[in-house]
Amino acid sequence: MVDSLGQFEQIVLTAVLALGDNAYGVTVHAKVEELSKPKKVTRGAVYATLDRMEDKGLIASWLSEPTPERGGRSRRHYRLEKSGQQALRESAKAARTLYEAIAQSLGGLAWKPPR
Amino acid sequence: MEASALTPPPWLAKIVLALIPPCAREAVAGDLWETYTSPRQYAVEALRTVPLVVFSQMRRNLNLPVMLLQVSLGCFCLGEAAAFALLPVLMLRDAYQEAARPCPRRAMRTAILVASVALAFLQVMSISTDMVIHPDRPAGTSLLFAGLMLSPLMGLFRTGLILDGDRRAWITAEDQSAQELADSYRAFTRRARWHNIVEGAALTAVAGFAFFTLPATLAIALTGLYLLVAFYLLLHGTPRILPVAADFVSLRALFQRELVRRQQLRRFLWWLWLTPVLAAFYVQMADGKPMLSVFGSVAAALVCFLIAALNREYGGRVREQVGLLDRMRERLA
Repeated sequence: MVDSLGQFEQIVLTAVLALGDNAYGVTVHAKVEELSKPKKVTRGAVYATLDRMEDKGLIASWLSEPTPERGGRSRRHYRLEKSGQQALRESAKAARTLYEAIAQSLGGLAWKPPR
Repeated sequence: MEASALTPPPWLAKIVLALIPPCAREAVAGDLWETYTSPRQYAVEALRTVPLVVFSQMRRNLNLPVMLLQVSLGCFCLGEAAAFALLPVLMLRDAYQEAARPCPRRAMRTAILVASVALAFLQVMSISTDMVIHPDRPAGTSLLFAGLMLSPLMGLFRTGLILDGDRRAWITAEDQSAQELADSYRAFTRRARWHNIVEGAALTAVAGFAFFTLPATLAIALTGLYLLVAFYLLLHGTPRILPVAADFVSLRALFQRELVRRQQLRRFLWWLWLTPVLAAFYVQMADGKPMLSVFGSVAAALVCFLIAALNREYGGRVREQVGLLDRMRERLA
């Protein structure tokens, strides 16, 4: 059983999952902004969440080779761990249950989640 | 467009770099550099990002039991206001700790500097070595100077710790196969388990000794605390067992987490061992005589230096190893 995730944590983990091998600070922040539209998200908040997720063992990170376009500095890449995938699955399941309960009460919603 | 137009001005980059905690510097500074468009955008982005990175590092390095011990000790010796004022300073210091140990040469230089200052002080005060410990002198004065003379030895002790740490690295090779990394992790786990057994037994022995020799209230508190920590060490102190199907990346992440956890535990244990010593100094010396209070402060400062040196050296070694793991590539068979 893994800890339940907060909404922002779900978004950050989804971004890491969606980006695959290209998940690092800049791309994760861009993806999180895209997923949180119209809300603005600071990069610092993304770093803090990534650090927290890493401490919980939901993601793993490592440094790449330094590159000149980054002033000779490395990228910190992220990857979802098995426990992270499990946590995300449980969040999706909870979201679907919630969606169905709302849809049932309101007599249907315009958008249906894919099954 | 010229490449130079797309890089931040060096002075601004230096300021931003200094503000980012060392453990997050590489990735955060690189990301800020990569998204640079203008000095203003760079500065604004840094101002928005860095405070949250600092808070994150404070949270990551927060060791609640150590903090509680430090605050209790601070309240006991300095008063509540000073102890609580120290809290943010301690947390910031933790957030900005270096990603590696100081080099032995630097530590040696500090030791020589401290020794010179101590000797110059004794010379200026016209005090020769044979006067330092003298039956006619008040104990506090003698020990104050003894403390001063001991400080270079503490500096040398720290240098020795750094040199010794180089021989005790858990990981030495830059690239390893998953099997080699798993073997390194198992060796680390075995060593940690044995260490915990020995330290758990020592804590139990001290708890028994305290129970029979100290005044009742103090004996119960100290025995309870030491036994609790001994049980924790034996039951939960050992690093987690390696998962069967862990790949290189997961194994590396597990190794890093367990190294950091071990360091946090170690840090708490050093404080735990030496806090009663510090409290004892304080109780013995705080009987109203000013010189004895001075001696208490010097002795306490030396013990604090000892704990700080042990923590800095071990913590630095762990951060070096975590950094090495960060950059490690899987060597395929």
